[in-house]
Amino acid sequence: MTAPHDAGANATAALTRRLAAGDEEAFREFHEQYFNRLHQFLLVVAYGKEHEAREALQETLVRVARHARVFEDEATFWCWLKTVARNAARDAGRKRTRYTALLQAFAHFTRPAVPSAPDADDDRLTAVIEECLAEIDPNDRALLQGKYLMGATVQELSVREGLTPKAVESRLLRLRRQLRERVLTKLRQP
Amino acid sequence: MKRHFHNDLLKETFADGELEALRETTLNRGLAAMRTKRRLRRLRTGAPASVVVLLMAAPLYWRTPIAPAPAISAPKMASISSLKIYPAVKAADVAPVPTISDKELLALYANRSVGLLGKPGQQKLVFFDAPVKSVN
Repeated sequence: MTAPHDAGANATAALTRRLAAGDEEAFREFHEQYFNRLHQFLLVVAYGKEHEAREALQETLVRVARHARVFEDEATFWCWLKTVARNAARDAGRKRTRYTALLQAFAHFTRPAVPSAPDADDDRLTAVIEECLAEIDPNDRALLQGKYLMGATVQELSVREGLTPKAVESRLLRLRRQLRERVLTKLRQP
Repeated sequence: MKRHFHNDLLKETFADGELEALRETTLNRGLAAMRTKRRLRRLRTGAPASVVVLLMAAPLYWRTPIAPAPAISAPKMASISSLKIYPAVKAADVAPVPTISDKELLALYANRSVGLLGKPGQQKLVFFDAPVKSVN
């Protein structure tokens, strides 16, 4: 019997092997699985600047297609993907404004180096969402949790809230917009 | 479960038309990169084999006596530089045509029966002793 961890590792190894061999179907699978995750990661790396995050995401995915290697487990693969994404974001930023990069390099040079934990960027986004959810109205939070944590349908939520399905959809849309602004604002803060 | 909740919430929170367009673009660009990668790999694997075959074939080619090719006299095209360009004939270079008087003209045919017919300036020299052409 194969343990779930081994199955996951095997799946990653198989996927990356096919990617390294230039299999287009493998790239479709990879893109489906990692597009959103990389986008969210890059939002943190780019300090909530959506345009920069998207630009870096585009470059990251092309680099993965060009330089994919075989990885035996998902954790190592994700670490590599994060490195590629960080480099793509850094290069895009460097291209955008060399002067700012020079200033940043100078700031890094003068500031004592603080090693960041490997998953710091992943954890930062989770922490930011938690903070944002804690700040919104409890009823709104309950609605979001009902939809995304409990997996309730709009119909079920409308019965629970005593609203029409359309009203629930509108409220969810408004909440998502608010949350997006809050998350981006927090990410922009140093 | 919480991570899943965050992922789904974030996915829908940041989903918009622009992101969907980016999804499509990145997929296409990535697939194109994969195709290029495969082509380059094929070239890399194929090139050494071609070089080996060429290296093996080269001595055979050089050792084979090459018969002199039959001379084929192809019409040679004159090159532009070899073409002679004749200068335009100037009117001054041509010797002037001598003008003679009517008397001098008739004197040239003294032994024949000739006369000048027509208005002055449009006269024609007519030989009266020339055989008459039959009309029919």
